Amino acid sequence: MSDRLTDAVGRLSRIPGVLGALLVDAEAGLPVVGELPDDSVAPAAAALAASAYRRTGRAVGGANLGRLASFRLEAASGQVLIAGGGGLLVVVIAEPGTPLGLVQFEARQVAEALS
Amino acid sequence: MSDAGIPDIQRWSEEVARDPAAPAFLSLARAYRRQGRRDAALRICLRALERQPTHVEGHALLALLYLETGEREKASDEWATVLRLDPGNFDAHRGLGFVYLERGDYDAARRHLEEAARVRPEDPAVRDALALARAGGVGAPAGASGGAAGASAGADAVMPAAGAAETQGGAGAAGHTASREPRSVFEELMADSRFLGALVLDVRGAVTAGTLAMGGQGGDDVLGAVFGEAVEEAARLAGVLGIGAWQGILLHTDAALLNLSPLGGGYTLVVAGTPDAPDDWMLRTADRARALGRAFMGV
Repeated sequence: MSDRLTDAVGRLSRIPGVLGALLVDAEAGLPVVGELPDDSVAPAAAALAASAYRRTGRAVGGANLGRLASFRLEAASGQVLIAGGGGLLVVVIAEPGTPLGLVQFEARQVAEALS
Repeated sequence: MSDAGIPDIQRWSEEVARDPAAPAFLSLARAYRRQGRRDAALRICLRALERQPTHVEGHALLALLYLETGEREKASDEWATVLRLDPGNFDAHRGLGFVYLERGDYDAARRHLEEAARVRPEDPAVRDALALARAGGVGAPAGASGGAAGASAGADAVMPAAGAAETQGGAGAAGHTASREPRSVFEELMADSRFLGALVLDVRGAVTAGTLAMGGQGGDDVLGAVFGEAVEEAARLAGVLGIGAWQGILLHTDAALLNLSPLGGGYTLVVAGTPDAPDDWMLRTADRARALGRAFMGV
C-alpha cells in the first residue's frame, strides 16, 4: 500500500509545473506521504487542506450541491489542488499559471484509485 | 439549471398577487421565461406595465418575449418605448438594429447598431451586423452568416438569440447595477443556462447581494456562512505554503461548478455554474460577475 501511495505522489510530482504533492488522511488531517519543496510545512498544510476540504464539502452538501470532487485554490505565487478519495486527500501544489488540466486528471485518477 | 428556486418563485408570486406592479414582477417574469412559460411571463409584464408604464426593464423584457413568439412588430414597439425612456439603451438599439436589418432598412439598422456599438464596441453580433448594414446587406462579413449573400439571410444569421439581449454583463450593464435590488445584481447572467447564480458575502460570510438558484430556503445564508470559514482556511493554507494571497477557489461537485474570489472591500464573490460547465467559462463568467458585484457594492 505504501509503495502505491509513494508511486502516486511521484507521478503527480513529475508533472511539469508541479512543485509538490501530498497525500493526507482526510479525517485526521495528517500527512501520509508526500514530496513538498519544504517538508517542514507538511503537517500544517495537511491539517489546513483537510479542514478546508471538509468544511467546503459540508457546505456544498448542506446546500444540495452534491459531493465535492475537487478544490482548487489559486494564489499570487502558486496553486493548490485538493481531490478527495476515500479516506485520503490528494493535495498538489503547482506554480502559478500551470495548466491544471493534466494535474486535475491525474489527481482524480489517484483519488479514485485510493477510494 | 437556470431556474429560480421554488421558494423564490412562490415569494415573488405572492408579492405580485398582492401588487401586480411590485418590484418582484420582473424577477417572476424572468423566472417564468426561463422555464419556458412565456404566456405567464407576458401577462405579468403587461399587468405591471399598466400600472408602471415607464418601467424600462419591464418594456425590455416584454420586447424579448414578443421576439421569442415571433411578434417582431410588437417587439419593435417595446424597444422604441425603451428608447423613449432610456435613449442610450443597448438592448433596444441592438434589437431594433437587427429588426431593421431584417427588413432591409439598412440606414435605420446602421443608426441603431452604431448606437449599440458605442455602448458595447466589443459585442461581436453588433459588430457583424453593423458591417452588414454598412455594406447595404450585400455579403455577410466573415463569421456573421456563413457567407449568406442576401440581406434577409444575413440578418437572420446575425440575429442573436432573444435571450442574449439579457446576458451582457459588460460596462454598460455594470453601470445600471447600483440601482438594483441586491438579489437581482447578477440577473444579466441568468440567461446563460450554465449560470446558476452568484452571491456576495461580507467578512462574516453573510449574504449581501445575489442569490443561487439551488440554495433553497435559507440555503444562501448557510452556504455563505460555511464558505466564509472555508475561505479563511484556504487563505491560511496559502500562507503556510508561502504562495501569497489567495485569488480564487474553484470547486467541482456532482451538481455544480463553483468559483469563489475576493471582490475587494472584504467581500467575497461566489459564482455557481452547472457541473458540465468548462473551467474557462467559469473564469470568464466570474470576471463578469465581479464587475457587476463591484459596481453594486461600490468597491
